[in-house]
Amino acid sequence: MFKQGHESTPDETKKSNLSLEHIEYLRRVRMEKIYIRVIQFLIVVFALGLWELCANAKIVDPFITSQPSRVFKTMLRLYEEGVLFHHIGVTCLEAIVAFVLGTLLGTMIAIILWWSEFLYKILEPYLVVLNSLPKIALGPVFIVWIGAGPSVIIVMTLAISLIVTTLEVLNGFLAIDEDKIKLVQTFGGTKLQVLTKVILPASAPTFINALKINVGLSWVGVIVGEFLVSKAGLGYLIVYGGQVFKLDLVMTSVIILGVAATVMYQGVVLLEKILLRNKV
Amino acid sequence: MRTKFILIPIVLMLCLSLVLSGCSKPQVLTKVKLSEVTHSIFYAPQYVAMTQGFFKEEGLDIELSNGAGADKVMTAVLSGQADIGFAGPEASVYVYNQGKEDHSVVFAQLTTGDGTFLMGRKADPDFKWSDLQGKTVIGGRKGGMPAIVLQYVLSKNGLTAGKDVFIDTSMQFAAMPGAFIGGQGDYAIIFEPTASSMVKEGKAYIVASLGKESGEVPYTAYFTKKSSIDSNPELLQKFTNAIYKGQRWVANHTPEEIAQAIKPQFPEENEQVLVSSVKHYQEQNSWKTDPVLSEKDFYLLQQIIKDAGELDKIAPYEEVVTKKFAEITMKNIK
Repeated sequence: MFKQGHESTPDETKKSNLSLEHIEYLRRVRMEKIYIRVIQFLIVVFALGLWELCANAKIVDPFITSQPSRVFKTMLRLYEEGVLFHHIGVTCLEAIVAFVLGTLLGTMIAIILWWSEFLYKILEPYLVVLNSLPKIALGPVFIVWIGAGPSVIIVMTLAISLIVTTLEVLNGFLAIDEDKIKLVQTFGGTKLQVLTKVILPASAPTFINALKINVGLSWVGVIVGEFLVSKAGLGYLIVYGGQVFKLDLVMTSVIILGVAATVMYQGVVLLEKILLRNKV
Repeated sequence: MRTKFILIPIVLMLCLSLVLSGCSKPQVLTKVKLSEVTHSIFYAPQYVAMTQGFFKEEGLDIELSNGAGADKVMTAVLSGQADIGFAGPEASVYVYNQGKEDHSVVFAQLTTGDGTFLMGRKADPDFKWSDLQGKTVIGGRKGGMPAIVLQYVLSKNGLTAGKDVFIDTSMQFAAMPGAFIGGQGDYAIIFEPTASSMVKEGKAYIVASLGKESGEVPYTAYFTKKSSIDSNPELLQKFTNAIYKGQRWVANHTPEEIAQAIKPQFPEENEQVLVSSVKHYQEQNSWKTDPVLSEKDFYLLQQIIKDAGELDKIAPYEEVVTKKFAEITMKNIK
């Protein structure tokens, strides 16, 4: 195996403290990462190319599916009209606000439920029912309660993401090793100290998972909210495009949405690396 | 001994029922999937055709579904989920202008003039359109007929949408009545029977009729894919015949009779609301007496949409509309 790679001198090996096999292994890991990125890029290029060709050859109906060239033209037109970043900005702002609120509220509620097991036992069945309710159907009701404005969008998103986040974080708390808690308690630790010294630090991975789930749900909630009530934003463009049959507008918004949601998800992944690196 | 005597009439009855069932002709009806833009008394002639058996006479069995919006009705037709769509003709214009090859063609018109009513929070018998100065009207969706016609009516009365009057198009169609009752906006435009329903509950009052101001703009009509026109002309002719019969029935009956006839289609509505809704539409001649969509009305529609800024080019009548089924039905059904 180690005969295939570059031969490192005994000095090199001594300096880096790594064996030959280890260096070779690291090189292979790096190469694999590069291969994966290249193939991912090629898939995107290939898919876009195939889409454009099929649309031009009328194998798929470009009226319904649009095509990359039309999507690009639409984006350009929106940019020239000066509204492109306005719509993207509105939706992204709603998504970020809803995401942060959902995470904070979800974590706080999870802490409260962890603190009082009695309260949790009482509320558990209600949480399950609330979780299964189709909040989308309650949309028109939200408007009557809150009035038609951006707050409805935030509320709709919270309705969709809050309980799932809470339960996910709570389950993370409850799964912490009992022995660690006992350890702190034998040293005379209060409940608050158990919380801050054991539970919160140990549930960082669960917390990150909850964030990842929350990103997806926040975007769903924001778009559902915009379908319900909106004067601007990517969801608004989708509704308007559908209304006047400018399906290019619909497809363009969907694609921008996909990119924005991916960027937000990558943000969480970055956060994960930072948090977990410090842990190790 | 006695049981044997009872058996004889029983066997006779069984034989008789077998014979009779064999005698009746099995009715083979062609199923037609029809998607309507919304469920409203505005479309009474269609429901009359369904409940009074006119479709059945023509050998058709209508499977009605509520599309909840012209865009969804058009999508259902273009994707083949519905055979015939029933919505504003503007949807067919939009589709044609976007370059779709097998676009939709309109073949029968049912309603003329706007079908919504302007609702306010207080009764206002002296309502003038200038009262809307500086106010907000919940107007449906941007690019939809109600909002476009509202803008047209406002301009006819010297008011500019966006400057003098603010049309709120941010809300989903289904959410509008609830939002208005909940305090959103100063006025709202609502179809029947929801409008009369809101009046009955004391939540809102009808202050004006958009239909009386809009002129004879074709509002709702039947359309199908161009390929269907070419491949199923007999079916479409039968459909148009039934619709024409419904239109003539409605033209010759009182509001109370019409309300009775369409009751099965509106089971939760109070009879009073039904009659009042029918009266409103009948007074303003919303129901055409024949299914022909004329060139004049078609171009008026497009001009109104263009003025509202939602149309870039005018579509040609010959491509988007056909009146051959309507003309034949008028000749044959007397």
